[in-house]
Amino acid sequence: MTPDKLKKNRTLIWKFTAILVAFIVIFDILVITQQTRLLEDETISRTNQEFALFGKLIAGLLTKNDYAYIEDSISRWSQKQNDIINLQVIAHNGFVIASYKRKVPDAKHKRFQRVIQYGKNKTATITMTRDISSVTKAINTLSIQLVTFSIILVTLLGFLLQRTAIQPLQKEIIDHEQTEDKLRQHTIKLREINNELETFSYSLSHDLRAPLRAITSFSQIIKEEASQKLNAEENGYFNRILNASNRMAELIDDMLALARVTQSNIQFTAVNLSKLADEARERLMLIGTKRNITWRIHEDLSAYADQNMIALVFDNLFGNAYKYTGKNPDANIEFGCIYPDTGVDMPDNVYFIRDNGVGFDMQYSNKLFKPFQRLHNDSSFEGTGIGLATVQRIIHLHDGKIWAESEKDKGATFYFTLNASPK
Amino acid sequence: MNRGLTYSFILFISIISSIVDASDQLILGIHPYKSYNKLLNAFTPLSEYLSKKTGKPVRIIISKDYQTHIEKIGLNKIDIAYMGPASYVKLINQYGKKPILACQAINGKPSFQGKIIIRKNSMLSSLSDLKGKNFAFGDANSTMSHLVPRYMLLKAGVTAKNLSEYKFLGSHDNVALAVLAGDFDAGAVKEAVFYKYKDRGLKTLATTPALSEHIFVTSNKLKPATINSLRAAFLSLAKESDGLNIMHNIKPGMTDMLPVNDNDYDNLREIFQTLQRTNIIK
Repeated sequence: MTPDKLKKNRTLIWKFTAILVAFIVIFDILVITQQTRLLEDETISRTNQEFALFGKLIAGLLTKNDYAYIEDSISRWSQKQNDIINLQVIAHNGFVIASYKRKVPDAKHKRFQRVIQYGKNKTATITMTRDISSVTKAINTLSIQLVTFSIILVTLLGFLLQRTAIQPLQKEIIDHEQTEDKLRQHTIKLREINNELETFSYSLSHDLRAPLRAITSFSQIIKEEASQKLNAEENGYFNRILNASNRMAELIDDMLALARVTQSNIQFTAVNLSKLADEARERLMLIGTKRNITWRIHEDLSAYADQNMIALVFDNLFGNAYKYTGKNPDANIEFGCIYPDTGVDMPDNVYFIRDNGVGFDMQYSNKLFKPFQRLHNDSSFEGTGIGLATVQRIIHLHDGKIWAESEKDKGATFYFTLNASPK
Repeated sequence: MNRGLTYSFILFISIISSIVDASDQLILGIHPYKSYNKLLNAFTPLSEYLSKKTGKPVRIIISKDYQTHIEKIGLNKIDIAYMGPASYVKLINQYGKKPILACQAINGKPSFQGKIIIRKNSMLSSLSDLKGKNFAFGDANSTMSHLVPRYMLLKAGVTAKNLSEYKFLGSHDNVALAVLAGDFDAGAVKEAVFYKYKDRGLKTLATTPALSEHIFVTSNKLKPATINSLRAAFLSLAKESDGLNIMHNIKPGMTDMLPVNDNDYDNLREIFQTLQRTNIIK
């Protein structure tokens, strides 16, 4: 599992727990309010029934003007119901005909009232105050039970979740972190080793130059001074020594260039690729032999890259194109972009350099960018086999990609991607 | 043989009872204003006291109704009678004068009064204002909750016809509560009931004349010596060591037995005559 997925799962578990707790809380509140309403409704309907009965009795007594008996009835009725705190019959003029009061300290109570009719359009009011602390008590008991039950449920579920989901997840996270840590350490170690190797090869190449120069120079002197004393075969050997020395010097230069690319710091700026390509073409035409080549360099192509490095890319890729079109009297070399002027949707532009040279067999394409690997033998096309490795390294340093397409004798196209704008 | 035995037994019983009669037993008659047992219990200490003072056994009988009670003493079938003022007036009216023993005194007073009551916030100021109003009476036979107030209304020119409504509510308490509840504009009650409810919002519109209290009378047949000894026993009751207990047993609040004259009941007599004349009572 990736760290993102782990994080997602963790949040999912927390969300689930939160929803569960919220659900239980809502459920508890609903049950309690429902039960409260039920008990209150029960009290109200009981009181209404009592009012109906008692009201009839009182109305009858009032119609008969038997007020004295109302007092009796009230206390008898109240004593039958042990939750009545206060019961009064009040005449239409506000006079309290009869009243029953029971002292209940700090009892929660509810007051009810009913107007009754008697005689000819006469009214009286019965007021009743009930002790509802039994309702409150019942609700309190229910609340305690529900809350206890909920806590137990959440604890159990939490425990289950901890055991089945969170603990394994945490273990996985720790494992993952440990693996990542190991990988990081490996990478650091590898980089160190790599740096050491590169430094070593750089100094090796550098140190090889002086003795090579000595070999070349002295071979040149001997050749010039002793060429007439030597026969043709011996002169041929000297020429071979000199050619080999020059070739070795080239190799060393290329290797130093590659090492320099690796060790230098990349400096991103907005780079005019069309201009860079044109400059590279000019450099090439200065040193190369005069040939009939048709150049096509698309205008106004730009990228966000290191100018010096990209110049090196053009030098190498144009150099290759020039080299491998050597046998074609109608050589074509083109630089362009597959998606010119694309917007934000395409952060990487895909550029290409195309020629109509000899091309290469696609089955060897995996060897193309490896140093010292050459797809053509030395005699037909000169070269060190380090150029494409350098190009690949530069493109990779730009977080880009490089690949090539070709068919034998039908030319080759090199593609590479660069950032169109700062990331 | 059996028949002869039965006859001789009946003869024996009649002889025995005639001997007891001849031995001068006294009968104390009470009108049925409470249950038989309650009355028997209430008057037993008095009968024992009278027996001790006269040296004669005293038996208690309770009449089946007020009219029978009046008849019994009127025809001298009982020796001592306890009766209310209204019954006394009827008795004298129907059977002529009887020797008077004593009159009871409640809290020292040998007379009692009634009140015509209205609500505290009532605008009524005199009995004549009651015309067109409704009026609550207690019982039709009650002296203080009907007869005397009815007489007073009559004297003030208020008849049943110019009352918008009048009704008998049975008890004095109901009358007081009916007035307080606003169902009636005025009502008639005995004094004690007025004071019981006064603080809940009552005031007096008028007070009845003072009427002499309940009375003990005796048969014309008794010897003057017996009558004198009985009267002396009643009048000295309050001075006896357990006299107050004996009286309280009959009625809480009774404090004394006082001498009274027949003309002390003249005001009630006049009230009855007036009511009879106007056909309110027969």
